[in-house]
Amino acid sequence: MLNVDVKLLCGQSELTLPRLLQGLRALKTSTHGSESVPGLQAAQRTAALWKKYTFEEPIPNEVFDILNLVDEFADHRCSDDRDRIFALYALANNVKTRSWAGWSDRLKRPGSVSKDRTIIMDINYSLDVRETYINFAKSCIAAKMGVRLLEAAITRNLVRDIEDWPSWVPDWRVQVTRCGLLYRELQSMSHTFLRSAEPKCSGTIQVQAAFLGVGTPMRPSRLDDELEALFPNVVSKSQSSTCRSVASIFHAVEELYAQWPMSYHEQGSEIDLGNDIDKIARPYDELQVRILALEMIRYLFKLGPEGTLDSFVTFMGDHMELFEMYPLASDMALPGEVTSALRHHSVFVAVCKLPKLIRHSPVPLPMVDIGTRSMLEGDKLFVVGPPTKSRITYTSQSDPDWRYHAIILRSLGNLNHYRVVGEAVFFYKEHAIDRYLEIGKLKSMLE
Amino acid sequence: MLQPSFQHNAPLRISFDEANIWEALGDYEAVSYTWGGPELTFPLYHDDGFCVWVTGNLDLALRRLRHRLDPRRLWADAAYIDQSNLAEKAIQIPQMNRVYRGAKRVLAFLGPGGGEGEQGMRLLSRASQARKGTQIANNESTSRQVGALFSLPWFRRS
Repeated sequence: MLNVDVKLLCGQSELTLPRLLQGLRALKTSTHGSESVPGLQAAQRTAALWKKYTFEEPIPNEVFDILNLVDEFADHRCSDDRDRIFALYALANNVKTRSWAGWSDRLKRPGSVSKDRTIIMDINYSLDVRETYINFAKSCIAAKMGVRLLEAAITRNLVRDIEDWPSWVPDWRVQVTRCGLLYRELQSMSHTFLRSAEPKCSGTIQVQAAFLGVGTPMRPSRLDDELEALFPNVVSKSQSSTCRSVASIFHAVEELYAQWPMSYHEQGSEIDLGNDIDKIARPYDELQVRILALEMIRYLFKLGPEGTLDSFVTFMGDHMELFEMYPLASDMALPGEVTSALRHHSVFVAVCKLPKLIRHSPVPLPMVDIGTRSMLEGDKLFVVGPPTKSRITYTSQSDPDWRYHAIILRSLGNLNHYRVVGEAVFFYKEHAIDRYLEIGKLKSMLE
Repeated sequence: MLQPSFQHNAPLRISFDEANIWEALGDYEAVSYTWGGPELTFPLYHDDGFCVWVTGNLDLALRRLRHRLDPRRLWADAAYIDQSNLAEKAIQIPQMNRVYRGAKRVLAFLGPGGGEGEQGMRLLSRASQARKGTQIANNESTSRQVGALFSLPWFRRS
């Protein structure tokens, strides 16, 4: 319907789309509570899309990203759900079939990957919806859009859990049901660490990822055996759904740390937490933890409407007691967007298994994290992009903080088989992690 | 090409334009409609004696659009694309947006009307003519009618 001239016909009545828009505007200005009209918002979205793709001057080199488009058109019904992807080929400019005339000979060969992140996928109606979506997911990962894709899978309802549906494949028939933690950040990331390898069988795919830390990159082969140890495991979590204010998040974080074995606090020496978590050092420095919690809250405020982040920063500046340990004298409510995002997430603590080469040295691990509510103890965080450094210095002694973006993987018993269960953002002190976050390679079977 | 008829109930007669759709750019109107039921039980009679089977909604749409005297050059997906031919579908579906974009205009058939949805459309039509700042009577029935309009299945498809 992306035509300049669209006329709606209903019975004997007619109305052009521009008139419909004008009528909606006129009604909107005179209506209070137009959100109560069912279907109005969906229709306004449709109209906005029509305007965008019909009239707006395309910006040169603008990417009409098929992953955005499938999301934008997600609430439209399709008589054939495979067309949720195929029908957008003409509109998107980052998806092409293998047989496209513009490819070089190299790219016409099966398995070759385009350098400019173009998704290469053939249109094949002999495959069913599931196979089509799996193919599309593989093609996106091959085009280095794996993290976007995984987030699309994570933020949709997990109806597919009860079916035989791979956890890393977004079901485009289902609308996004929760706010993703990573998306806004990922748009600005120049690269992510998820690379593809060949699919193994219909349900699984072998994913390769390189992991780059802040230290000097090492040759991947050297860390191959150790790499699994570099991915933090979830240790414990606390529901954040009841958090309504800055103080309540602090409280949740501090409770979480307080639950840890007393020997931590007392001795600051190595202790054994069990099979999965090897020897770790004193993780709990109250000031550090509070600074990290502040970083986390600042990150969450980005989910709020414009201006709320600024008011939080002002609040922080005005209340230096945030950095001290006595109870907070003041508090600030979280914006509605943040509390509703928190409904689907938990505050949690995770720890790294340390690589053998540095296991003898006690490494402090203050770490504050926010992640999917459905995660369990033992789930693994798989870092998907370069860490981001905080630009704010809170205290004169504080080291820079790093923010990491991760997806959460759950082991299926077999060491190399994981399900994608969610996403997480975690915050670290620089000196705690830069020693052992090096480049490496993880091969895992995602199911 | 939809053949004219004076009678609403007369069978729908068509002929296929063999012209390449790209040569016909701007010279046809594209019909946008929801399938309604999945059953292809309504016939379009072709000049050469064969039939194309379409859904009830397209049948209604074409009857609504049929001229009395002149043939009308229309494009509609089920009539143009052989849905059971997978290879043809693979070529045609990705080009649908171009087909719609290249049409003289798009005629969106929302339904046979007669209900509150149609009233909602008339209401928006009136509202669109109102001068800036004019208050439009807004009450329960207004939002019910506009709601009924946007609940029509067409607004939920691409």
